[in-house]
Amino acid sequence: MKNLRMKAARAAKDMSQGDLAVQVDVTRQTIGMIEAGDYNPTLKLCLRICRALDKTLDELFWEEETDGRTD
Amino acid sequence: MDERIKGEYRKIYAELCSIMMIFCAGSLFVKFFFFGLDISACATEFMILIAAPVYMLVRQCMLGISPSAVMTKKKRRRKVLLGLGSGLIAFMAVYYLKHGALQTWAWQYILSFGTAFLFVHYIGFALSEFFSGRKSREYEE
Repeated sequence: MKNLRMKAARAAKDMSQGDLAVQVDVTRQTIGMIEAGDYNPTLKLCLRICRALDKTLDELFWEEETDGRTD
Repeated sequence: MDERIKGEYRKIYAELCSIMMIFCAGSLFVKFFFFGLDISACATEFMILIAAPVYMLVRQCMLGISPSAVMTKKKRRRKVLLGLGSGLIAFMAVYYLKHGALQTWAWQYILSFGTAFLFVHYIGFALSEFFSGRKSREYEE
């Protein structure tokens, strides 16, 4: 599932994928893949992303459960 | 280094290891059947095929992980029987092609192989269970 909240938070901070990638020490491709929902980052990376975007884990990565499945 | 890239490299190395093991077994097969070389000429392949699982067991013990955590008893048993069965079939095929019908003394080899295989498997499993238990106790509240 696409992580649109992360994309929105990044855009709100006026950061490109490359800027965020440099800040959290990964490649731009990894940020793109996280936003596209093609890669599940580790908790460590999630925390780094949250700190870089001034958001909490809940705000960026929490998924509500619907009918036994996550959104 | 990017954790995703690191993970992908680990995957590639794991695949490479499997491919190399298959090539080793293939090389053993070709040397033995097609070139008719003696078993001593295949020492390197044997060393690799024996050393790889030993290395795996040692690392397993060092890291405190056990196959029982990721495999059910039934699946583990099936895997052991598959290994034992394929080993026996390979031995019998090689023996048959070299000497013809199985003689009485060949059964001694088969029996020793079976016993050694099961013994090593049991010891390996017991060791990894022991170290895994020790690791669990280390992190207990």
